[in-house]
Amino acid sequence: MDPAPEFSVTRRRVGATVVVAPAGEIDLATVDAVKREIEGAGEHVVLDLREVTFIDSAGLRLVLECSRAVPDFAVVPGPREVRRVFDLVGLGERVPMLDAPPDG
Amino acid sequence: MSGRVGGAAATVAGLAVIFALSYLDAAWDSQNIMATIVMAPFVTAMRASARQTAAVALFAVVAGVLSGGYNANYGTSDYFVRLVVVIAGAAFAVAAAHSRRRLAADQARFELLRGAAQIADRRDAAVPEVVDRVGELLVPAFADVCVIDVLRGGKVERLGVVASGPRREQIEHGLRARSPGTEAEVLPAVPLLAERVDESHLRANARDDADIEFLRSLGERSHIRVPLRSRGRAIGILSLLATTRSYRPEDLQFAQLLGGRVGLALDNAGLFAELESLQARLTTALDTLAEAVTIQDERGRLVYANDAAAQTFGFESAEAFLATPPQEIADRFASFHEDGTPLALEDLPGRAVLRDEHPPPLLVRAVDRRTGEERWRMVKATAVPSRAGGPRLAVNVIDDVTDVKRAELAQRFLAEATAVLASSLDYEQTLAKVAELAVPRLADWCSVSLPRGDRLRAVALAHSDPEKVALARGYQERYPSPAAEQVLRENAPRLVNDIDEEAIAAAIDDPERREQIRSLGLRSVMLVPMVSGPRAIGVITLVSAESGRRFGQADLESAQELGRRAGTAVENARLYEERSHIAATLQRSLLPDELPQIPGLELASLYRPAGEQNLVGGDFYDAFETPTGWMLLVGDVTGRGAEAAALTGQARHTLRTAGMLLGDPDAALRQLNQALAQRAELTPCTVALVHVAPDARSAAVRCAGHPQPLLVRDGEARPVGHFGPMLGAWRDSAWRAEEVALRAGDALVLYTDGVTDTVGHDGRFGDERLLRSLHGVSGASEAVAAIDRALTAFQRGPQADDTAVLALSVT
Repeated sequence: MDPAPEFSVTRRRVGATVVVAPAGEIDLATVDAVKREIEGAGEHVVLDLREVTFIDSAGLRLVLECSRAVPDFAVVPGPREVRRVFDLVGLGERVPMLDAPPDG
Repeated sequence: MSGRVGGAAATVAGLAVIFALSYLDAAWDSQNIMATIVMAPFVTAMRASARQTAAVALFAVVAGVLSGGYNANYGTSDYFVRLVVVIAGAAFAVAAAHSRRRLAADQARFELLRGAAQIADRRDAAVPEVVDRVGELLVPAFADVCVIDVLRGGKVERLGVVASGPRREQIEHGLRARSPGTEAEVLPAVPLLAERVDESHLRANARDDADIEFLRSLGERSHIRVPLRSRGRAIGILSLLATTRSYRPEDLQFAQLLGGRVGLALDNAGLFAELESLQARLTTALDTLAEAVTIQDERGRLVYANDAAAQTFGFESAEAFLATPPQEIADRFASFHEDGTPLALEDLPGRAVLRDEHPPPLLVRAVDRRTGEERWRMVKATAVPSRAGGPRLAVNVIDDVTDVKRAELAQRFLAEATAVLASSLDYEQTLAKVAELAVPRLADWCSVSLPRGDRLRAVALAHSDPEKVALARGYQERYPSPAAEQVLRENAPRLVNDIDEEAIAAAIDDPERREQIRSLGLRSVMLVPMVSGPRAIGVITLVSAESGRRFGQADLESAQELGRRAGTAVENARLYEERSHIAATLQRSLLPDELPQIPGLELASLYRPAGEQNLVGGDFYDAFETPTGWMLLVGDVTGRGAEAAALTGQARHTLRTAGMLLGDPDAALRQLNQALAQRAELTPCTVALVHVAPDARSAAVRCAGHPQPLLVRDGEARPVGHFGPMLGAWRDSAWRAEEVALRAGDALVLYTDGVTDTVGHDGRFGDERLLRSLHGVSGASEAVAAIDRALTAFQRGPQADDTAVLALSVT
């Protein structure tokens, strides 16, 4: 995606849970980076989207995939725009949503 | 000098004879033996000098004159006769003494020369020994002090000082310590004679006040300086000083002869052997060096060349090479700078060095005019300064870097070719660029032919001489090449060098064609297949003409590699073209050919596919009639490419089929949801679906994970419809419809997130801008046009995602 604003993904462990926190825009260009972090994270994952400014259908598909593949998966939806997109596609009702990551 | 003692004794003896004979003559009355006095000067003359003899002779004559008294015969004829005999005898004795002394001097000189020659003949004598023996020979016989200076390695060296007399050691020490002067002072070695050394002479030669004191202390009366010569060159100076005698011009002449003998003796003693052996070793080293080395003199003439140099320039031997004038050597080659501009003799570093410049190494491409062979040479030159400071010789080291350079050029050429081939997928244009790239680096003329119908046709042609492009093209058009056909058929390259008159005559019957070949100046031809996978798909023809260049194995390899790369590129371009065609066809299949005519409604659509043409997008829209009204939809399948295209097709056709058959939007959505959910892979899809009542007075809006459609009423837009789950994610999904009562002039705009996700200078296009862009519009066409305008104005950079808009308005 042009312009690719700075994008980064951090991963931290809080007890048994791994918190994956991307920052920037999640789209076709960046979604794989997030996916890689989640894939190796284990069975308890929280996707912290508070620093995410934009998410497109590729990002939604990732969330959907994770909700299926990871037994204990939750999302911190973050900004209103992101939260709205989850509601738009019905993910808000299907994937556990947290206000904040554990201990964070 | 023993001669002096002998001379004095002889003089005394002569005088004694006079007195004795005069006494006898006076005492012996009966006999007049006066004439016998004449014996006295002869006695003296045997050993004494002419002067001493003359003195004795004078005494004898006086005694003869006086004899008239005691012999009492004054005035008689007898007296006079006897006196004449004495005078004549005396004169003769003086003359004899003179000749004898000269003979003796000559004899002494001869002995000196013989001595010098003997020294010279002793080939096993070392230099110090030679110096000692020369000193012994000359001092004190010919000089009181003898100094030998030689030139060695550009310096003047004081080789020996031999003195005589009581102050010998002091003089020798002083002269050894005294600087022998510089080469410029010593050479040219002009013979010099100072018959009488005076104060002014000393001053002129003195280096300072102390020196003049020293020179005075030598008591020098006369001196000679002559060159020491050997094998035709001056190797030093022989200085001879006399304190008691004066040298004469004949001494100078003799000294010159001596200088020759002593010089030879020193030379034979190996004075220069060491130097020369060093020189010989250097020469041997240069001779056996793999690098070509040449040495030029000030006028640019070659004075030295090793065998490697001779070979480099195509000569049998270094001698033959050296015997050839530089211009003639230069004329054997067509020489160029690296950039292809012709090289003049004056551009060579050796010439620059002789002009006092410091040239960097020069890379030269030389084509042998006789053989057409191309060589790359790195030429470096350094100056060997003369003793005066300016350049005297230029040493050139010539490295044949042909292999390195060719490899480098081939690499660079192939890299550039690859870049050019990759730069465009329009392959005919690409091939034209490849042909241009090959000229003039690889060939003077390059053409690329592809099979067209039943024969090969040139699709690209480049010639180093633009005026010959048409000629070359015409030739290729007119005379199809069986060789090229064969290369294509057999997928094997072909190289023909040395195309000459004879070869043309043997191969070509058609005189007109022969003439054309001549006018094109063909010299060598390479034909290489353009290969893709296992087969040849075309032929690249590389021709050498004007440059006279002969193709080598390395050239053929480069050309073949070019053929491989070009072949792959052409095949890729073909595939790309094919794929683009398929994509376009597929894309069209995802969208309705044309929107249906619906009474009371106006429909308009916009489809902006993302960047590349060959990637089928995931956006779709459709509008069709159902048993219960009209169904309009816009959908989006995540992803792009073949997979997305297949899904998109499935999504659109499932919705269309279910909708047309069942007339129930929910059933249609469920149908697609089930179909997608059954797939092994997660394949979500979002859809906005509007079901318009047959009377077009109301519409039911459903969103399956899709952005809400916008209702534009009285120039203001607002979203309508409830959020519902996307399709393919969950099997148990259900959707809620929002019923919208439609009024005349109302418009409903369905769009995909490609619209709101469009990136501009100020972030994403977003919902707000979309709503604003629809401000004041009325009618479907106007709404679509407004969005298109707004997106075009907003968008920055290439479009990242497909964009689809479908609008309806109530007329």
